[in-house]
Amino acid sequence: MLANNNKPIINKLAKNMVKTNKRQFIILFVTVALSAFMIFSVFTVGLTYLDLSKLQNTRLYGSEYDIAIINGFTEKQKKIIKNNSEIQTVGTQAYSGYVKSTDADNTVNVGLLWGDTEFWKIQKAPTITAFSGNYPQAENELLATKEVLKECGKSSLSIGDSFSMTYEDNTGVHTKDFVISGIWSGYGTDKANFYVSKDFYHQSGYHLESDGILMAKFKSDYVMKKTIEQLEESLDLSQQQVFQSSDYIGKSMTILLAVCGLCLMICFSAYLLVYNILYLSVSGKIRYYGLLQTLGMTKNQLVQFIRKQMLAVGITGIITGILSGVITSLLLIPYIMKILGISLGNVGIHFYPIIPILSILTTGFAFFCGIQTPIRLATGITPVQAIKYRVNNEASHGYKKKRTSQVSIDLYWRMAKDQFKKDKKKTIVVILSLATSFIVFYCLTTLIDSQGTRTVYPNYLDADFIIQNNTQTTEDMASLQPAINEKFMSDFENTEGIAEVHTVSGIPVVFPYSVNGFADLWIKGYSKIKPYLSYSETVLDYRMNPEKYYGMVKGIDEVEFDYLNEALGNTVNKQDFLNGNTAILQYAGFEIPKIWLGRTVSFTAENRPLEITISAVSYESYYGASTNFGANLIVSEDYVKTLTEEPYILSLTVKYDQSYNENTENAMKNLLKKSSYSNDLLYISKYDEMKTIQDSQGGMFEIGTVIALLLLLVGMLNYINTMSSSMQNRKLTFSIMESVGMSRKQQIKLLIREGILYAAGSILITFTVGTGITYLLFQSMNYMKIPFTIPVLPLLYAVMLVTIVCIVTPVIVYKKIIGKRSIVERLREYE
Amino acid sequence: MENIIVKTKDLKKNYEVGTQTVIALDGVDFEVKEREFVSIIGKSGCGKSTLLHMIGGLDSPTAGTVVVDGMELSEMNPQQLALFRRRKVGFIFQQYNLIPDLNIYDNIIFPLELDGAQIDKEYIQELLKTLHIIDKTEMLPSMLSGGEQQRVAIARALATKPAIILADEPTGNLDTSASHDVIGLLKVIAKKYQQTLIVITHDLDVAQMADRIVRLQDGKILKSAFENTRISCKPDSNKERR
Repeated sequence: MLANNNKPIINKLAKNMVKTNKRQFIILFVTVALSAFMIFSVFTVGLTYLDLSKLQNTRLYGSEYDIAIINGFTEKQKKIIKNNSEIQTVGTQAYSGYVKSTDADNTVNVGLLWGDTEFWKIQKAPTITAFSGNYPQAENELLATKEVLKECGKSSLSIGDSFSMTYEDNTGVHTKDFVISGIWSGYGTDKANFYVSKDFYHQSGYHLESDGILMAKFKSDYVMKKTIEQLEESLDLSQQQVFQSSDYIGKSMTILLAVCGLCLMICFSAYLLVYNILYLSVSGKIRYYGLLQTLGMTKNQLVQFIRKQMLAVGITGIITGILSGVITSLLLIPYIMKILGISLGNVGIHFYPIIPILSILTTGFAFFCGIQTPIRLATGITPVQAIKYRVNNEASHGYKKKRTSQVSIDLYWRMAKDQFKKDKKKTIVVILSLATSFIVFYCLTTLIDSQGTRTVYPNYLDADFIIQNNTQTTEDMASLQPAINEKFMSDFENTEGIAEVHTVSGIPVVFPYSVNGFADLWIKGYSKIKPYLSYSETVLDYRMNPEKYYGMVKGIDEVEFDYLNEALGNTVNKQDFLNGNTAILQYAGFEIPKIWLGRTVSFTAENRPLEITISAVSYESYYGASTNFGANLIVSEDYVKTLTEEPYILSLTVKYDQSYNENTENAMKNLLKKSSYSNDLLYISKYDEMKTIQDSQGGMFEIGTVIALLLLLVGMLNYINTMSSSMQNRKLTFSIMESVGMSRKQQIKLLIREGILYAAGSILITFTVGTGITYLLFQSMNYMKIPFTIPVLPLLYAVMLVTIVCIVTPVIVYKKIIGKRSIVERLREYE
Repeated sequence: MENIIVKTKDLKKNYEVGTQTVIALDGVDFEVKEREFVSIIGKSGCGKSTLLHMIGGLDSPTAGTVVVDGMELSEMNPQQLALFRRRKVGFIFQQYNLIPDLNIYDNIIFPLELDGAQIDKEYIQELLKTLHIIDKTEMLPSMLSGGEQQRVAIARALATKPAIILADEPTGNLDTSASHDVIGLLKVIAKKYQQTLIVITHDLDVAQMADRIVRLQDGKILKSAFENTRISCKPDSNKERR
């Protein structure tokens, strides 16, 4: 059969149709463009968000790595890692000693670190925000931060200046002059340390095999757990070595899956939007299509005709949407953020070339799928059916509704429910679309809201604020000062917003020496971890000056005991401990033989000889936070009171009525500032740690909020679109109802109820299915194991917004379609 | 003496069509007595429907007044007009104008439900029986034939026991036999419930069933309108009327 050249007439028809139905096609075009724009924006902002999450991790860890070998590594292990095809970078960092004092401060506690070129130039680079000078080359050069200089009492120093400091390394205690070769600022806990040169490290007596840290980064951001396990196995680690993978990489595949899930939901949402608008557009022209069929147009020609119109609008819509997205992400958002004063740190919204492609594919796919059903609808109907077709009636075929004679049920609710159930497919699509967007909003706000707390490590006792008395020096027993005194405590107790305070009080004690006795155990242990200490010389010195090697007895209250005992597996008898019969020995970095458990230890406190039984060894570093050489014994606070009337308060653990409360936090800090010992009082603040995390997030919150809002907007747009079209189709019904006496007020009442039903449906799905999805997603990214909490306020706002939009949209559209025209004019439209 | 229930004075209605002004009604003075059956005839576009819409409060006049049952319609706000249509008037349209989403029963009682009124089930059953649609109550309008749909529209118009029934070409979509049935039914019911009936029609046979025929031409009532003496519609004072 010869092909019939009917293209020109179909093209002409399609063109004319677009021309004569300009308004409808403009709506369709805007919808498609908006969908493409939304998808583009969500992908752009989403990728930026992921980048920022990775950057946040890097900043928190202080360098960019995924796995690390701690407590030393061998050359062979380094080679294995370097040769692994999955690995991108391998860097080395090593401990090289610590600063004991400077001429400005004799209680300095600052570490000395060395990093190799790959560590410093590649792995450390993303966390550095400013750098001037050079990495140390000569043995007497130091790389500093402002924080470390302040800790040394040398805030005024800059590059090229020198100062004298006393430090301890594996070869002993030395006092030397050092020159500052560079100053950096940025992120990471290593800000509180000096970096030294390779030469310094080599003469420090430390070895990479025992003290080095090897850090490696994978090429991919998403690595299977199995790959990490296989790499660990291939290293043949010794007992002393610890293999650590970052929390992020360990969960990377789960995060990737979660991100893919989120993307799928976004695509689904976009599909629903495009599908719905196409469906409504085609179904509104069914009569016209029927007429064309009546005049002899074949089904194939009709399909071509519809496709041509849709494709023209679709392609131009997608291109416009993507172009707007490119302009917005590159120019507009950074500009708005700048105006609003939102800082993105050194990370802005980037242009990712993959995104336009991804967006075109997604919108195109959604468009392709969206067009199929409307085409089937248009071509599957006979010309006669098409002429009689009215969108309202479509769902009514074969529908036999039961009589509802209960007048007691509110008429408006009944009618709203009927309307809701009438076109189930449309209702499901609208509710699903609203709910999908709402669920994504729910997920994102939950994740964003918990970002700080989800990633902040809890302090000891989950305290909000910890204050430590830092007046001790290693050798001088009399160095301890009452830095936390009565005045401080009374001011402190009057501070508003404090819920709980736990004090650690203590006094210095001396352990008498005896061969193979407790003090001997301590000297042996120390000489193992400090190779420059000669055991025999130390024993001699100890016998002569035992107070130089003083230890501490630290008293804790019942709550702290319960917390500590839980960590020890509840092995300590509470009553014995509280009565002062037993003590818990603090681990000091060397092994304590088990035979010492249950043994009695002798010591003198305030010149009184005393004895106590060791019941357990605590590995919790909190009670070891003092610089004394001797052992620290944790006892009950009542026991300490029996030793002295005025024990030193060594630390305070504070819990606020409301965690992260700024007023309480500021009051605490002011109290510290006012103290005459302010320089010797160290504090750890959960609020500051949270702020550090927020700071390292670099605009993640704002970007996350933008995505969440964009998605909510997609759902709402779909609703607005559908409702607008559906209201247009119900114009006749409204006119009929008005003609038989239904007032406009009554019609508005009905529409409000319909809106409430849509809002309630989507909110119900969000709070049931959405909570489940959010919980799973939250737990998959919850590597700090914090409890799942719902961000009540953002959700409440969203619920209000969705409800308002759901209610207001039909009312506004109703008022618009009714206009000022009389009922007669509106009824005549359909005659 | 019978009271005047509908009175229009110098009623004018203009429509703007593009740049042109179309005069639909041009100073119509028209009166209808209580319980009277009036049919309005005239060519297409002469203003019949416009007049009916003005009486029913569906449209507002450009000039002149419409007084129905003592109420001046042009002085009413939209809310009052809605109440007026719901309580005083029963409309029957040529296109039936049934609500597609509601079943037959719900369509019929819809105006009553809007008013929150107690539904007189016996009366509704009687209407359904009289109009032969008792077995269709659970169906949707789209499932009925044209004649059946028109009977539902009549039932809906009568459900509130209105003072006036306004029918705009009620037989326009029906065959001759069905047309006579529908008008016959209307007449019987209007008589039974002492209602005033105004019918617009093209069909002279249908028009002649009325007490009085009014002819409209170019928006004006022709003087040649005549009283139909063959069929009378006497009031029955025993029947209650809303």
